[in-house]
Amino acid sequence: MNSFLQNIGILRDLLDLSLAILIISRLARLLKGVLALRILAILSALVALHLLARFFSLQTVRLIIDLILASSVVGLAVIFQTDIRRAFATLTRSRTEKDVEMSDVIDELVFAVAGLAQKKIGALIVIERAISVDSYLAVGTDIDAKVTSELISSIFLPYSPIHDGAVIIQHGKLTKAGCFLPLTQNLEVNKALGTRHRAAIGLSELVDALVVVVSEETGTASVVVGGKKTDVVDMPSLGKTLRRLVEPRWLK
Amino acid sequence: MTTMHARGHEWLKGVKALSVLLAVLIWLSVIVERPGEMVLTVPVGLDRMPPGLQLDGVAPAEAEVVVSGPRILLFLLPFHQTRLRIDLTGANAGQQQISLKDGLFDLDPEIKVVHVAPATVTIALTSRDQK
Repeated sequence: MNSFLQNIGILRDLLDLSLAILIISRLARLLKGVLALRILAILSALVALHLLARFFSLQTVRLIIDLILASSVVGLAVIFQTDIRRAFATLTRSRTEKDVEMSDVIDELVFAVAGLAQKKIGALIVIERAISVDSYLAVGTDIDAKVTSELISSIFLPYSPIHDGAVIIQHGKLTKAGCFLPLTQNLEVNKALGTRHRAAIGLSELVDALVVVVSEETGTASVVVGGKKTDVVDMPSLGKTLRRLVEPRWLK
Repeated sequence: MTTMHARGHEWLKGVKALSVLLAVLIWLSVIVERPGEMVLTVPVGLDRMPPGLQLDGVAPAEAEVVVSGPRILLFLLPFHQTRLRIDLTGANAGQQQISLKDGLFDLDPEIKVVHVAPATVTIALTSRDQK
């Protein structure tokens, strides 16, 4: 009976440890970048120091470390606010809604991007998803029009006064054009990339928006999400990518 | 793209390793705080013998103590010179019956004495002149 209870105790400890590993690794994977690794290393060092201070009865050191550990929760929430927001947006995504028929907006977008890429006309198209992009946009002209390939193409024509900025698509409508986006501060981003790509990466690091970029130098299209740029091989694959990443509810 | 993929793979490995390390450390810091019990044999010392008095006979050399407290503190206890100190301040000649309580042991405040054997000790003191 005694050994049975002891075995249950060991099993409970193992379960406790396994669940702790699972929770921490899941939480850590929600955070992006090298900073997440550093934060994990710092937290590990602090907990190890707490143990040592407790072991050697170093009361003052223990008090300081405990204070740092307790306040680190608020600090982490501030440092990773963007990642946490993005993670929650991902968690609240409904899978069933993906089956709903996709809007014409994507077809129009793909058609416009194909035309712009063929003519090597630079373009920057932002598709808002769960998180609003409004607070990250500078200047811009309000439009509020139906998304059509003709409208998008005409906005990015070189002689258009608003061709230099980004076009914003919110709830299935083209709401703004000529908007300036925050540039990425990530030093690891390829130096060969121009301002248009840096702006796309910069915005996608802050919100969960999807950004389509057409390079005026190479005529290639790319999709930028979560700070990562993926080149589009051909237009059908762009359509597939957009249908996979943009849910119908964000176009309504 | 391949370099980015490899870097992402490395990042994931690093996150996994550090997550396991952090979880184990947090788990350890919880485990070591669990209460435990330990039996100790501690030497008995007589302190502050009043002037003019001396011990008549033999005082108990050791006492067996059962202590409880956080395991991390109990772990170090055998390496710590724990003693039972009997303060004889104000004692008179004759037989002194002293009950062995918590306060007589030099232990960490978080460690409690559960049981002491013997519970009381009898010490006989005589005047130096009488001898």
